[in-house]
Amino acid sequence: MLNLYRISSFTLLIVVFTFNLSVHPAGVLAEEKVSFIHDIGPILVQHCQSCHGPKTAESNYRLDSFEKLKTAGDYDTPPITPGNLDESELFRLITADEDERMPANGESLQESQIALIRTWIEQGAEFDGKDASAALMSQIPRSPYPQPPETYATPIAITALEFSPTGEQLWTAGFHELLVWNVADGKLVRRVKNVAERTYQLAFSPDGSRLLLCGGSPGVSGEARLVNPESGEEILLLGTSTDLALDAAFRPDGLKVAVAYADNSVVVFDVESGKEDRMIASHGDWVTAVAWSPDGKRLATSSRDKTSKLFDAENGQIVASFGGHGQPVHGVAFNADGKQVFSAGSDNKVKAWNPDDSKEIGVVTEFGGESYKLVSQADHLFSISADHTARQHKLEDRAEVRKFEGHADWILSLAVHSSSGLLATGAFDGNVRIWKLEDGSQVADFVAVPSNAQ
Amino acid sequence: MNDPQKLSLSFRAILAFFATILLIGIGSPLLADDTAERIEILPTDIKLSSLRETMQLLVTAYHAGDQLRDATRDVTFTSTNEEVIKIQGTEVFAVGNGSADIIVKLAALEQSIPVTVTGVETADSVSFQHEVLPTLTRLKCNSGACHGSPSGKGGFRLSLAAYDIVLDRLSLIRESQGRRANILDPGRSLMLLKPTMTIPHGGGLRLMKNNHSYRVLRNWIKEGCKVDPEDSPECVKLELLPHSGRLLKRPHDAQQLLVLAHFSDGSIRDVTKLTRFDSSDEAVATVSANGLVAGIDRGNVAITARFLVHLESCQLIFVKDVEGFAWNNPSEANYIDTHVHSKLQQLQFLASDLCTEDEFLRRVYFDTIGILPTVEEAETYLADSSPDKRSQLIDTLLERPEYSRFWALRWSDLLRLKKSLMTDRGVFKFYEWIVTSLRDDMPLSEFAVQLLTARGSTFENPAANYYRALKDMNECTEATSQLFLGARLQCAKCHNHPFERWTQDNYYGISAFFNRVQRKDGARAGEMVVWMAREGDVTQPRTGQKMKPWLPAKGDVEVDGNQDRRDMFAEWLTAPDNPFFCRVAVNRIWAHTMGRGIVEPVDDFRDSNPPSNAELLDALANDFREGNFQQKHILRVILNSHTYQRSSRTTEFNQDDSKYFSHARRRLLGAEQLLDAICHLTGVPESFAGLPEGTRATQLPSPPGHEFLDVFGQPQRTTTCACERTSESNLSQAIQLFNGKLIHGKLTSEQNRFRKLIEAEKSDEEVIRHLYLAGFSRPPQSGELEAAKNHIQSKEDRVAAFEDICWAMINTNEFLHQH
Repeated sequence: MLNLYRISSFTLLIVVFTFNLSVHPAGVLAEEKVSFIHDIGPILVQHCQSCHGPKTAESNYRLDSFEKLKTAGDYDTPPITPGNLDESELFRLITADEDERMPANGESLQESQIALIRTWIEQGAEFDGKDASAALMSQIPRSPYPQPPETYATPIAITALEFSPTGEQLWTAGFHELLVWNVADGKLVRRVKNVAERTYQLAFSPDGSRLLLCGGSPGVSGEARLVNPESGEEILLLGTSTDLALDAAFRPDGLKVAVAYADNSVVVFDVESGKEDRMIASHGDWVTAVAWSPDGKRLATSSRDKTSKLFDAENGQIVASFGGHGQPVHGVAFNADGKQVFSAGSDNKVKAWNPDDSKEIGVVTEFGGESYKLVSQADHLFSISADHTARQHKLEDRAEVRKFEGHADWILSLAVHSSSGLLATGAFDGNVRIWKLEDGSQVADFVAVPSNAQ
Repeated sequence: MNDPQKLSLSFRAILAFFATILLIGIGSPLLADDTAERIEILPTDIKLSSLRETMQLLVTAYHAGDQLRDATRDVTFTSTNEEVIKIQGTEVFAVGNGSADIIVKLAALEQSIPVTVTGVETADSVSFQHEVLPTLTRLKCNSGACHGSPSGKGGFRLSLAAYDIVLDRLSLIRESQGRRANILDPGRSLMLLKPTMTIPHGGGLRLMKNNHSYRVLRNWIKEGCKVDPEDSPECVKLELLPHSGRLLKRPHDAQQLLVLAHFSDGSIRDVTKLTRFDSSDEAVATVSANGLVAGIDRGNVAITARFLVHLESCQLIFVKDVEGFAWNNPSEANYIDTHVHSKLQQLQFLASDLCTEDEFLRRVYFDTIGILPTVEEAETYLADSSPDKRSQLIDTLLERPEYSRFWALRWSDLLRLKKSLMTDRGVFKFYEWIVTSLRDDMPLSEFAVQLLTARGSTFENPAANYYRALKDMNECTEATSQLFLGARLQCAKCHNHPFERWTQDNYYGISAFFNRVQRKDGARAGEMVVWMAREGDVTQPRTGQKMKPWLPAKGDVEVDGNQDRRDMFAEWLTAPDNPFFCRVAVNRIWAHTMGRGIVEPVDDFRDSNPPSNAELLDALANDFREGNFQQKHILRVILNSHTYQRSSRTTEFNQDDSKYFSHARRRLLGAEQLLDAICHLTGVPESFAGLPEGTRATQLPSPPGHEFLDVFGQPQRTTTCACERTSESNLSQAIQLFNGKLIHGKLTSEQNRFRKLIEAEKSDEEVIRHLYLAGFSRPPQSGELEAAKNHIQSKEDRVAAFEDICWAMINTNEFLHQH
């Protein structure tokens, strides 16, 4: 009899315990405290802030900081009343009928998200961040990078590529990853994950110990990072932005990095500490490319604001501005002695201009379509275009050395490895080609997506 | 007690009681389901050629007495084979290949529609041209205020209403390294994140994630942002159902629309959810994004449907029972009244009574010759007792010399008679030519032909000044269209017209009639010679194509090498079957006399701006055509109609009418009319530089730059738009009337009317009466006479007292308005 009693009470306990568990949805036990910063903040930022934030505040209600979250907008009812769900208008709205339901764009919060908010309010609606008045975005933890799909349904545009320091491998931009290919046989040898959605530039530090990558999600966020090329682990997150980081470059001595952003700014970072040295906000539109002068003292930029500019890298002052393209400018490079700047634009031309007087020196070449990134290396200038060709010119006299033809779509990215005598180009249709500089012959031709290879 | 009579009486009483309750309770008579005589279902047979295809169903129930209603949401739909088709809501979906029927039931009525499903196994990817682009138009992403503006918005540019597929492809798929589309994670594409406000969007929330439009865009991205293959079938025709002309009576004032796209391979697809709908008058009816029209108030409305370059409209009339309304069957003078009354009765408005004789006198003088009757003319008319004196007066006025000069004013505005454009001499000759044409009642067709085909010296052939005012091909195209076709073509110069079916190709096709017109200086000073080049073609600036001359409703035309192409245009324009010429012409004449066109604005005929009374317009146009395009005949018919002669006083049953001519419209006198009226009342004429003494403002060939006239809206004649003459009141006008220099001058002039009368020793009463007849075309009422006399008694200076009275008269609404 005693046994039975024990068993049945034990069973009862189990039943009650399980029942308790099932009442509280996934992951939240009755005792566990909900963290605002970890659990609630990300929901608000992702699903609510675009209509209730600094740019748009529907019903005059904002929730882009904790203090604002608690402040009522047009309606008198308090958005959050600690411990009291009935007096929390925010909670009422996320569980309301279709015509009042928040978020208003037809995508309601999931049950688990609503449960988290419910529990948090019941538990006292406390703030566990550092600063109740600071932007939520700055306090919530970084979300992990999504994992790329096993194989890609379609090829993606190759927005960046770079040779490894030895020239034996070619790194290309993938979808939330970087893909590493053997130059010799065009086979995929490695997939480096935990990367932003798109990558717009890849660059190895002069000593090869660090890989600089910049990119982001268009219109959503941008970032520039230093990553360990061996392990793929992040060394430093240099900077973030509300839109893409479109280009980044090491100073020739490898101690500094300049990043060009779609928020119209250029930022110089210190490689060791990751600190921001300086921000240059001189352009009126996206900064599409940035280049260091050979002596590391100056920065040249190109921008969608139709100019190419030159800045003093020490103090950020503007030195010169060239408007000769009359169209958005996409690429920029220096000549060997740093006394000439090359820029490439939507006027289909690559031009050389003089930083002393901001005047055009001459047209290097004219493509049949828009011209994009520029690379100057070992006395030569390399340029690419939407007309499916890449071109090579001598820096000294701007004479054309060769046209590289064969691509079937717009060429968006290029890389040069002078000691191996190789040029790599990546196109909008996902096609990557590697060429011999010596004679222009093709060494490799493949579509840079993981399919059946690993 | 048990008297059968009493019982049946009370029984009847009870019945009557309940019947009354029933009637009161229902209000407007309901068309109950079980009283429907038959139902009609559209489309009549359905072919779905892929798993993705659906079809919106449209059911109309017909009741006794030609009454109908949209019964789409009242019927039940059943599929005879759920393996082939299934019906959700009011749409049919494909399930599997085969044939099945849809059974439609309304009370006892039953009907079936056959459906064939094929191609369920085909891929049927989302079409960029026929699904994505229309969706962007429907969501208004590519409207002129947003991304369709010439510089786009936020760095993202689309073509207006998707007229440029090449630009749209570039912007959506390729620009900035394919920024806007995320093929591997379609829901995270920028072009979806923004309109759903998942991230901030300057344009706000424009798309819900659970919406058909969202699915179209998302699936297109998911399938790889493909563009349609070169040989894809094109949409050649758009069909909007139901057909125009339905009368919908409250409470049955909802109507579902169905839009079918006909393709070049013979296929027909339901594109209702890909169409952009607009209502021509949101006060009458609104239309939802999925084509459900909701009536708001009575009136007629055009619902337009736009799909790519195709634009179709459905005209609907909404009526409701107005409490206390009973049609009083007013008398008719001619067909105008028949048509106007028919519309009033339909919409349940009552016409006002006819205006008084003095109201008519003043009104018809202003409308035919632009000036007030003299005191003698007024007295004679008011004393006349013949029953048809109104008709006789009309005939007399139409023969007066002032008639042609006053109506020449209208044409001069439109033809831009301006000294700076055509020199003094040119203006004078052109004006006299117009006056002569009107005086001789030249058929308007002849008038148009002479203008359009004019050539030679502007001194010898005044009509050639038409091409002097219109300096180049573009101006010729735009002005000619606005003047004679009632079409504002300007928008189509750079892109397809946003509100109408005119495309950019059409614009340049019409230009091809005018591009060979050349102008050079003549031998004499100020002379210009208009001549025709023998060659030269129009190149469409966007496509680079050489344009053949193109005519609306006819298409491209072949013209012999050296022939003056303008001849062909003029011939087409004035041909008996031309749908534009007569309607536009009579509408202008109607607007001048009635104060509002049947189509308003008068030079803005388009499907989305329907006439307020289409039958009336057509009847007038026919009469005009049969009357050899002569103006006097039409004027006579209009002026003699009761509709024209109605009072401007509204009643309870027509105070809401602003479009259907139940009463006369009060409007401010035109600048020239007002100036002449003031001169007439005060007896002090205005002199205009360079013109003979006694020239009236309504007879000025060219705007003289006169402050008073400018303030009251005299057009500067820089465009052909009828809108140049404004009739809106403003502060400057008020100031002119209160203490303007011009009026002050006339009131204080030694030569003015009342001073002369005072000098002739007329009594107060005689002078007052004289002034009233001069200014108001009627004798003063006793109260007015008393008030005036009292004022004169109260003032020491008799002259000053009359200045006051005269000033007061000028400032009354009765004086300032046409009423």
